Amino acid sequence: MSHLMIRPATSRLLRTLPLRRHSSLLRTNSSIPPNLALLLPTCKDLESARNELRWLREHVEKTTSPAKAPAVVTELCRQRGQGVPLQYILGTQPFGSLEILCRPNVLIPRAATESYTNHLLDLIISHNVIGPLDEIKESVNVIDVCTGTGCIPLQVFASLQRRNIMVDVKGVDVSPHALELAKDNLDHNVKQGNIASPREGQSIGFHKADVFRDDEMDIFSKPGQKTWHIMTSNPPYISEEVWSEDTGDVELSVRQHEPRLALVPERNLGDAPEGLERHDIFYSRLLDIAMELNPRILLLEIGDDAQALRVAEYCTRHPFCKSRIIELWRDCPDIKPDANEQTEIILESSDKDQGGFGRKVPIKGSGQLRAIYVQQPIESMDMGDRKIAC
Amino acid sequence: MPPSAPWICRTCLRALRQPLTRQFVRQATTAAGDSKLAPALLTRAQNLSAEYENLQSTLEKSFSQAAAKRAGEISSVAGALAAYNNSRSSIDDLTSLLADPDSDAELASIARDELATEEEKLVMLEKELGRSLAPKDQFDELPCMIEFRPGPGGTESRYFTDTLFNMYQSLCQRRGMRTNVLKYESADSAGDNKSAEGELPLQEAVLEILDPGAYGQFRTEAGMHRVQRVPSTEAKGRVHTSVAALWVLPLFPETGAGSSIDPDDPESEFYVDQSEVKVETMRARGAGGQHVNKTESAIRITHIPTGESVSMQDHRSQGRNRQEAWKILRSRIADKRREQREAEAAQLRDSVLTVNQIHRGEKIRTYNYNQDRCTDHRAGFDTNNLRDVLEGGESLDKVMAASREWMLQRDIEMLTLEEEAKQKKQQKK
Repeated sequence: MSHLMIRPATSRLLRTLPLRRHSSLLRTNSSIPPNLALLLPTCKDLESARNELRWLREHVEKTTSPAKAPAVVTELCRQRGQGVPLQYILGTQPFGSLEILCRPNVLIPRAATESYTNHLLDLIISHNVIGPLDEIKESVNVIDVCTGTGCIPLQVFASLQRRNIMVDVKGVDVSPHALELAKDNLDHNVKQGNIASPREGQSIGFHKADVFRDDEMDIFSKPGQKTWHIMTSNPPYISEEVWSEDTGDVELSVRQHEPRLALVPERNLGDAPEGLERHDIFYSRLLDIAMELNPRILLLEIGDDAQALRVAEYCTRHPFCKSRIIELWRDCPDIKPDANEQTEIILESSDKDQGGFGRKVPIKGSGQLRAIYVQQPIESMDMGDRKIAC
Repeated sequence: MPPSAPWICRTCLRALRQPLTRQFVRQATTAAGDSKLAPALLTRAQNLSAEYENLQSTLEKSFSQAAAKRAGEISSVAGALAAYNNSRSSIDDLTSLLADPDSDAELASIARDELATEEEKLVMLEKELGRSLAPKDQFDELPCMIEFRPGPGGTESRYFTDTLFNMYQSLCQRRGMRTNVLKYESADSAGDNKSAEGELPLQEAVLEILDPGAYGQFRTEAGMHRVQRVPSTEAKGRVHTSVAALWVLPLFPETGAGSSIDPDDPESEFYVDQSEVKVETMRARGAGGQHVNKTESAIRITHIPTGESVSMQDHRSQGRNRQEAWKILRSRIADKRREQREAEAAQLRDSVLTVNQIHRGEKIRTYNYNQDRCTDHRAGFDTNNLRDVLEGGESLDKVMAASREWMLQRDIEMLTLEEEAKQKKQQKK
């Protein structure tokens, strides 16, 4: 279990290396064009500086008159070099088939989030993990908690809509900035033609609610509410210590420009249950909510290997996960693992019901541990009036 | 008074026209004599035509999908052969009429005129028959992608590669074809280091042409393109020679619209087994997820059995990079398989074929700036409006048409050799 964790000392050392390399690079190679040199403090290597310069240039070409363009490019390079996120400068980030608008005060969608969302959609569409889609009576009901830009529910909606599947998607967030942006993102992608206007039987909406307030979350679980098929969440998961200490675990650009609310669980949220740390608090709460909503699939993003193992272990003890399948997904869940990447792990369960035996949890894909996936076994799914036999 | 234009008699006109067509036909044939069509080809056409008749009568009795398909494939040969035979027999009639000493003088004069027209027609019909016999490339109806890579020779060849890239892009624009830049990678100092002509030092580019049939139109453009000019970086004004290499790959149409090729069918040339492909991403050091906001989206995919590998970092989304890389990989593998198949076919005719063999590394075209000339070496075709060629204008259409004509004639020639080889084998038995 311990060899899955990355030793902080080593990782810190590794992270300082590229910095040193680039400063020596700047000294010895005077032929680097000035715009690239401006980007290097943030980009750290020429290859990615070159890519960013191209993207910045393409953006400026579209938005500025040719006469002003060179000056604007240089100005944007300067901003980027000082650590302003590229997505705030360009105003967008591609996410699956969508273009997601990005603004300060709302977390920028990450590549790993895109990967697991697409993988989840692949499982739903091609592998019947919520049962055959044409046998679902009403609509596929999806809820995303801590939705931010709305990228996950929007991509789920776009993807299912394209296959003419009835779908009802809800995004929930506590931040008014996020809700406003999520709604704008719906409009923006409808305008761009990435999403068709919802037809009959298809709906998507964003709602303000505090995950930690029962009265605000109740509306999603009140009696008579339909079946939830999928619940997803990318909650804040960075500890206050890591956030405030200058260990380099949180990139400077993130710390200076992205909203703390989306990244660090507030102190006043209470104490985490046994086995979890304070910054894992969202996971115990989300599992409790899952108990109420009873989704067929629960997918939660997690911060690092250590947190993944804590939360996975907590899951094995939580009633929601009883008789459900648990998997851990890496950054790229659909890429074959390297030879040195474990494909399963045995979690020691303290639960007496398990008879003291460890529970075997498969690990999918390649990269760092990035998400926990909990699924109702297909054979036990209640498909309206008949049970699906396996 | 005579009209202002000088009068030229019809026969003279025809005589003037003759060499052009003759030259053409000579390329397509190996046998001399009465018919300009190689006997081997004629035999093949007769065989196919007989097969067509048989199929037709079978189809009248009972329908079969396979028979109908085959009949559809060879119907053009049967049609072309019938027209050819028709023309041949009327020429025979006319010739015998003229040879008859008893025939009327007026009638003979009409017959002579008619014979001349008919002979001209025959030339066309022979060409038509050759065309119908020429093997159809199964990818001809597909869209395509063109890969551009500079040859050795530093910045100058990179600059020129960029010119070629722009040339084909403008051509497509003019023809109203839909294009898409899949990959465009210029060297280190991108954008800050343009040549005097405004060219970028292009390292690698992939242009996708989405119109069906683009592969058939562009496949003759594959090969080494040579440039001769004074580079903008050359202080002493010397002419340099550099090259750029172009690959033209068939592209599997995304929607599969109207195509009989299914990339998920293991028999398809585009089929790539997912489990044989290794996908690599930029491995992030240290923390990931929300902790960092990396913009690296590079991806590399490798087809393990062939070692074919594509890396892609043009798009900000890794998913998108991956899709595009797959597309290129599929096309490259399909092309490799086709090459393999062609090599097998070539073995058959190798015994007869030595001179005409085409080497992949040979230059196909030269763009000479000083002489304002573009030459296609295979077709032996020259044009003088280089500017218009490079701007993708109609002069480029002409160059491309000439190379396609060359390719067609070569295909017919190959077919003739193949047929002759086959028939020789049979005779030995």
